[in-house]
Amino acid sequence: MGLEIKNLSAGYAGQAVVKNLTFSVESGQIVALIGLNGAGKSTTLKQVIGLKQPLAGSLVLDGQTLTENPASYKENLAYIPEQPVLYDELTLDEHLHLVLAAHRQDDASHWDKVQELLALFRLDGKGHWLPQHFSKGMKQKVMLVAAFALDTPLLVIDEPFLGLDVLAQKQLIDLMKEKAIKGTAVLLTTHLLAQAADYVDDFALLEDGEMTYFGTPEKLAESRHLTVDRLDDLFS
Amino acid sequence: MSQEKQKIQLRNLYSIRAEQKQIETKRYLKLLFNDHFLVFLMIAFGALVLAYRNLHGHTLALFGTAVTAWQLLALVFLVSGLFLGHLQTNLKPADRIFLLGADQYLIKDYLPKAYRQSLFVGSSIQLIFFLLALPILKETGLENGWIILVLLVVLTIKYGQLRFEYSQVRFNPSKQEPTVNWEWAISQAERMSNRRYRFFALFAQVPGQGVVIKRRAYLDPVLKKVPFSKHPMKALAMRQLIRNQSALNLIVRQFLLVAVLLYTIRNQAWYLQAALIVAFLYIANRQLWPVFDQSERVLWNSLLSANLADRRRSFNGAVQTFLMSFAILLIILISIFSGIQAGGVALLSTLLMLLIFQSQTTSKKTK
Repeated sequence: MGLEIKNLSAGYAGQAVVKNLTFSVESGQIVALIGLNGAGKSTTLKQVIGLKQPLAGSLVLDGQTLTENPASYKENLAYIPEQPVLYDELTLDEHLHLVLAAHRQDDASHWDKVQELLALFRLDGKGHWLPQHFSKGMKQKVMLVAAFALDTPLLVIDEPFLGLDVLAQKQLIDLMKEKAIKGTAVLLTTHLLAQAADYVDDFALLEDGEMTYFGTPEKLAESRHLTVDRLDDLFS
Repeated sequence: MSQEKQKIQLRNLYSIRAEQKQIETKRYLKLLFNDHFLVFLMIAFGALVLAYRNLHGHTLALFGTAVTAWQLLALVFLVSGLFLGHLQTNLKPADRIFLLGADQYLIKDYLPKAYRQSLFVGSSIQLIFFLLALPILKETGLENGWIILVLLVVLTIKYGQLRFEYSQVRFNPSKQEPTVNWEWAISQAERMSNRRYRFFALFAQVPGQGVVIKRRAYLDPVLKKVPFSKHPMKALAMRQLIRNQSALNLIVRQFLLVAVLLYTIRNQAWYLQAALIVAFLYIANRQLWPVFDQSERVLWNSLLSANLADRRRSFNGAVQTFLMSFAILLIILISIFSGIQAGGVALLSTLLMLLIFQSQTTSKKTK
């Protein structure tokens, strides 16, 4: 199970930005989409979370396809965007209730999990705050709490470390690993390749909308005559 | 670049900005004065004329004192006019960086133009308010000479207000040559611009316009009755309607206006009161839907509820609950002012309107 992408082509106004993409993220696996700006990472993620209809190909998440069962498909994923987006009118607690309720998980056990995560990210006691009182980093942490409180087969994270302090970055990596151990498929995008090599299982390298590599960080480094800790030099 | 050339550019900058603002205002006013709003205006204007005709010639003394409701009304109307027509510098936050070295040109050329323009606009607004208040001023029993004096007082206050704002924007430390008080100027310009956009945002989608939110914790007990666990999107919509300051303020102001009009036409035929409540519900419903459009711009909307028709239905449910509470208050007022039969007619009209709103949402769903 997990996410299966087959022959996916996607883009804007009929022009394919991503071409014929095929890969899967199995349960318990962490896969990072990597590539230069404009390579097609964000376009791919938009397809995965169901914001855009593909030009061709299919996406299957735990047996549900986006075209046939959009509601069930979306219920099966949690998403953390690159820039935090919140409803101006909802308090922190209300955001979390809304996300849980929309995924039909607004129960006591999930709320306990929320409390743990709020404490972890030092957001406890701020449940009645509106987003206008949060810093950008705090907003990003709200996104993290909302996503990690959910039990979904897939977790999608776009550029996870933007705006986070060092402590929160480390906590995020631990949480991702924990989710993967529990069987969640994790798909993320990142530019910090050497750091990601420590916690991802596979890299999916996108170049000009096509996947030119899928495999472990070690093999990617080897194929480009680099050491893993020098993977940030991949594109230079 | 020569100083002369810079001066010419700044002169162009002001006229370009003024022209852009004019074009933008025209565009938004076209959206504001649409068919629906005109229908409401006609009904409200008709009710106002009717109310005036009913009360014309009555002294309306307040609690047996020499003060009359006419005086109070004229005062409130003219004072509210004074809140409009502030200094319009049209400065933008980026000017603080890009025009930092052009202070003297701004002081000598740009800002005096802005001041003169604001003085013209501000005085015109006061004149319009004065003309609209003229029938009420006549009812106060003032002689013509005193009425003209009222106009002069209002214009003098507006002049003083603009003069004060102009002096704030020109910072003059220890009697040296003045410079632009950027902090004040930018914050004032942003305030003016936001106020204008917020007004237009009530009727049209204004790009980049943030929503002004008020927590209103005192309404939490009401919101608890709409928990997320039962209807997540309806619960979201209810909170958006209650905490969106612009939308709620507008509806409350219209509600108060309608309540006053209902009192003044209490002895008229029932259908007039029912028409007023129908007009209120009609325009309020239209004014609340931009909140939905704003919400649709939030990424979560489509992630949390995949179906647009479901989201529309949930929002419509929230709007109906929201408007029903206002309608019930109006129906109670009608029953008190004009009797239970009039209240009954108003109730039937309200239910009919809510049914129409429901069917409109359903038909959009099927499209």
